[in-house]
Amino acid sequence: MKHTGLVGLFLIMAVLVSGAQQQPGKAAPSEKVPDTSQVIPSGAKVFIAPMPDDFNQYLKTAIEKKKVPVTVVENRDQADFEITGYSETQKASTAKKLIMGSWHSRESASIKVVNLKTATVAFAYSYNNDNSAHGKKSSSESCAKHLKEKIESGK
Amino acid sequence: MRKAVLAFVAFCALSAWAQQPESPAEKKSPEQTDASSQKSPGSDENLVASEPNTLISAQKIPFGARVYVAPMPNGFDNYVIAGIQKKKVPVVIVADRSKAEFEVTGIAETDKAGWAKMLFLGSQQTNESASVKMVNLKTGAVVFAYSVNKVNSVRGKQSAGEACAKHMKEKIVD
Repeated sequence: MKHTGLVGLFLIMAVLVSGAQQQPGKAAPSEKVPDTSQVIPSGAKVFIAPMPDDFNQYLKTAIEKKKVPVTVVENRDQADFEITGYSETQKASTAKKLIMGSWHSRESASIKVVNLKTATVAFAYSYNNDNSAHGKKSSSESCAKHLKEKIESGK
Repeated sequence: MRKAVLAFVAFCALSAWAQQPESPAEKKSPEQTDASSQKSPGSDENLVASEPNTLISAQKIPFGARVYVAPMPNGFDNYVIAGIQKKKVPVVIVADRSKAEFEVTGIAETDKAGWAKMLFLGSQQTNESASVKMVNLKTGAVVFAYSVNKVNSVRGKQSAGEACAKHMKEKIVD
């Protein structure tokens, strides 16, 4: 009787151990493969396409100022990623100055970073400020800051 | 007397028969008429008529679908893409239309605050209006459409782009 109980216990243990070993194997096929096309690696070569109101120039300066870990290239063929976007500045009108007492401009900008090999958008960001203290400089630095966060996150 | 009754019954039957072809058409609502006239063969179960002259495909957008956002006025496409990323819409945005399964097109308009608005309402915020639609490039069916109108938009086009993305996310299934 004692032997039968021991054998039963042993069998249950064996089944449990084998089940535990099989679990990682079963989970493997269902695991999603991370999409590396949406990851911007540190040191990636980036081309900044021309944007309205020369926003690309501001963005280039901001990338340097914020120490974004990318290499900006002048030739699109040499780049791994391309930054395109749109920017809009609305200077303070007389009414805004008189009624609201604000001389600051309204800034709006939006950028996207495209992986040129896969044509997928790896990063996108938009910015809007009703009273921008430093105009396009503020909006471009905000874009650069968030781009840096994306690269450093490694996702 | 009997003849008169028979004649009356026959007259009633004839008049009822004469009115029959017209009555079903009269009963039909405008929605039903439009839907039936525009239905394409083989796609009946995928189409829903929500308004007169409007057919939106009931098919869902699959998780991880490849979406191309076409250029829109005032760079609104960039704001929509940024909104899609911010709202974590589970799609892959591609910059090449040939690699996409779906295409997003649309229009956006910004109405800046005038002096009267600033003076009387004390608001310098813009009015934003945008409308987008998503088309399945294989079937040509419109799978999603949404329009947004924001009076006193706090963040301008950014708000409108994010609103579009938020509602797009609701349409997507796992």
